[in-house]
Amino acid sequence: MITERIDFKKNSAEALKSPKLKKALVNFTDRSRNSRKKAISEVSEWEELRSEARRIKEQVINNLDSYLLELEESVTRVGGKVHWAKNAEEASSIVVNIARENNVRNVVKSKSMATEEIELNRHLISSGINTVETDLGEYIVQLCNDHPFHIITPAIHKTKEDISKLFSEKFGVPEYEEPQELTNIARKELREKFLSADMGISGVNFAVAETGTITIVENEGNARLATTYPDIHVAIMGIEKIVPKFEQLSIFLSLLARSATGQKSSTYVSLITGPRREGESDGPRQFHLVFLDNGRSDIAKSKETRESLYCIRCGACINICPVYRQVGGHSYGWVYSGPIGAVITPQLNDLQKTADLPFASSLCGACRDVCPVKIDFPHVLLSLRQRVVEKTKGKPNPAQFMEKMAFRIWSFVFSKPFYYNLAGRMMVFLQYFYQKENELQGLPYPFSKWTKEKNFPAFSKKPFRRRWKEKYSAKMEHQ
Amino acid sequence: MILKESKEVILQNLSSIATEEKGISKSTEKTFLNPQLSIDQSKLQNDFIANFKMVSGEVHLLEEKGRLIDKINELIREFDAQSVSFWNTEPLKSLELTHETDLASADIGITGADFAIADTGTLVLLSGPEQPRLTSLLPPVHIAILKKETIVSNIHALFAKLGKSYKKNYDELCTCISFITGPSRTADIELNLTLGVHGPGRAIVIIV
Repeated sequence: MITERIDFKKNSAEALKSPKLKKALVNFTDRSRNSRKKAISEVSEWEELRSEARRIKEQVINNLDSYLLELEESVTRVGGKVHWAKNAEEASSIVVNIARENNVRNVVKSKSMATEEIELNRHLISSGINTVETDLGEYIVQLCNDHPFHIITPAIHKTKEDISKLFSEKFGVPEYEEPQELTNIARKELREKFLSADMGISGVNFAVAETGTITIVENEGNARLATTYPDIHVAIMGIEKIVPKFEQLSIFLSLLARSATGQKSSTYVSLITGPRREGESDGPRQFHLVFLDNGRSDIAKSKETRESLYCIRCGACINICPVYRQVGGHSYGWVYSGPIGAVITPQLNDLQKTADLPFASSLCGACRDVCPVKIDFPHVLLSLRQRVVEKTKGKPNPAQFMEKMAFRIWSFVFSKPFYYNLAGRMMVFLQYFYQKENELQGLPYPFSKWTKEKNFPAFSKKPFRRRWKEKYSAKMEHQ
Repeated sequence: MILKESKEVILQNLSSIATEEKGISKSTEKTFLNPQLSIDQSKLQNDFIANFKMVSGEVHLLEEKGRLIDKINELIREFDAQSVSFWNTEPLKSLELTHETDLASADIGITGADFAIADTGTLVLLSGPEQPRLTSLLPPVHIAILKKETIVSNIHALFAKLGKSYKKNYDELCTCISFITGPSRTADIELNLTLGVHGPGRAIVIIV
């Protein structure tokens, strides 16, 4: 949960100061979008897949209550246990209790946004349970007591020199420079953690209601280890992660890897149905599935913003976003960043504290275009902006008054051709003092608010209407 | 007690979604999925090989079944492996290999593959009493024996096939289906691709 107001402007100003970060961001977002573009160009039915996925998600969210009950029944049938958590604290204490009841001392975790959301690590560690993140990026982030920077690649803000130094300090090894050498060190360190763990915690990419199967998608193999080696597996899922039918997984798996990393398939996809059965030599002996609400059922109630729950957490919207590309993940102040963060964070937290986020977008719509389930981000952002404004209604707000006045004048002038023409001509005179080449700079208040950040294009001496008239009438005469 | 309460709170909240909205978006026929079940097998094999190699996987083609043991021994020598762990299924069962019981210390894990997907270069392994999940995961080298007739065109074809083999009622669904597309990989250090971070750094397929 967010305790302090997220100051997006301050955070992003901070982020913009670091040229190192800027370089990493541009490099990373460029690569991600290019590989995504290439990967989807190979799938001729891409658009049909998106539409079908959206249709399924719509069906799931509209009927989430019955699908959750179906999933619970299926999981129970195959020998697992379902736990319902209405908020973050409850989810964490469910996991801590499972650990306590089974005398668990060492926990290995694979990457999961839901567990970041509920700050599960903090709860486990403060209950005296050793908890290790095992995704390489998350592990690096955990070793530095930092927060993930991106939902798919959490440590893109760390250079290999940073990591080399970190490993050397923590493990007493020489300062290796090569990424492969650093990876080998991490493998060795983490393998020991896996072999001594009594409990593995994972997220869930998709949960199939009819079979009770959970699906985990990854590249490293740490999720496979965490869900196979320890005796207890606890999976935590946001309640929106349901897919009704087993065969429908093929649609979502086709979309996810290509949208997330531009791979045709992620290296490992695990479809897990219940705990180990008789005769099997591996797999967990206990399987627990935690349903995390934490505000999601409230989102489902709003027709305007319900589609925020269709998200499959691929990160394509983040990689394409011109705002994220400049300011990076930490500016969004919580676990979800980019357009999906701007949409989800205010809905899962106090709106007053997160009021900046729906405005942290130019509404260009690139996110909507790449979203594998076609979430209409601009629409959702606008209705959240409306909510923010309504929340602050009644309080004196000079900026709002000015804005209202400005729009009133604007609509008056723009609806009368005479005034419109006149205004255009007046502007040509007025702009004389501020014009520099074809741009206006340093305008007086209140326009200074604009020109402080960027220049305004100058008004043309010969407006479009006149040029059009001249051209048009000349042509007429010619005929 | 508190848990039951949460379940009720969540369901109550969700039940307030208008009933007219619940009915919408009924299933449509998905003709676009195009599983292409009857495609030319040699093309599938070539596609699988190309795609598996593209993700740093290695492929050996065996023309005759009789030479499988030679190929495996050759790989064991190549890796200078001291211990090997393998699935106790055919054709591995009848090969005279020495089995390592402690998987964590095995140098090579050898498994079968129940299916493979051509257009993504993916091996599909089903878990079971004779088919442990860790054999393809713990050792630094994974070798999979793949029968060429089990390669399907794409993921939709695979799910159609799984649906058929479970007769669509999935009561017998195995505890774990693993999709494996190449060796374990990460790009978490400055986006540099590195292999073997957790799972095997070498993924080798022998097609028989």
